[in-house]
Amino acid sequence: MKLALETLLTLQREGLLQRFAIGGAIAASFYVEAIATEDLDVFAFITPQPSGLVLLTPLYDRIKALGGRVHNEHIVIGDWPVQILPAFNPLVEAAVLSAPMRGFENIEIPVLSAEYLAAIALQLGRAKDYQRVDALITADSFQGAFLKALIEAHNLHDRWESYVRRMA
Amino acid sequence: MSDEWLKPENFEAFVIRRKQAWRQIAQQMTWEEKIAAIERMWARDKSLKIAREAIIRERVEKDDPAKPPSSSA
Repeated sequence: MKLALETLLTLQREGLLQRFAIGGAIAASFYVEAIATEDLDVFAFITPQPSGLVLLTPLYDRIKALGGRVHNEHIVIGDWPVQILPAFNPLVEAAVLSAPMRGFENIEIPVLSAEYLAAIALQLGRAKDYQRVDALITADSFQGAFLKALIEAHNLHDRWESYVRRMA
Repeated sequence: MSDEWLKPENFEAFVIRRKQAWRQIAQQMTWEEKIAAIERMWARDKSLKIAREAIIRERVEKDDPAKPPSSSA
């Protein structure tokens, strides 16, 4: 894992990634108990090409040069399959931009906050996402008022209602 | 041995207490420890997958009338 995180920081230093943050189960595992997953999800602002297009190819080429290898839709760094997802909507963009730094084996890495993770899970709205919301809101540090503000700002009222009905 | 602990209210309360205790332990782990636990899950899942595939293969072989028995009698 450390190698994957260090590689991401290298890509940021080199300018291929502008901003990024760890998301998905690995980020959620920071706040709650370990959640089984097969990959490391990374949300990122990817530096556009001179043409203005955002391409993953130069990023993946550089990762391969740094020792990574491509396997299906992932790039594997060390033991970890990594999925780099361009920040695809205003909620994810805000989540990446406000991600707090967290320590992992003496390196500092941006990790989505628990409240943004819960809001993104609500937005995705699959059964496993609702379970993730349920786990996150019971975390000690979870700020319910902040999630409420995100639900209002990103129009997630219907998703919240579905979640509440499902868990009632 | 007393059946007291098998009474539904006692049994359920015990299970709830154990779940809470485990959750507390799991949440107290460091991020590094949790990631290491996830990596250990991979090895377990891989061995379960291999075992499951072997069982399925065995069943298919057994159920396929066109296939000759694999072991010589």
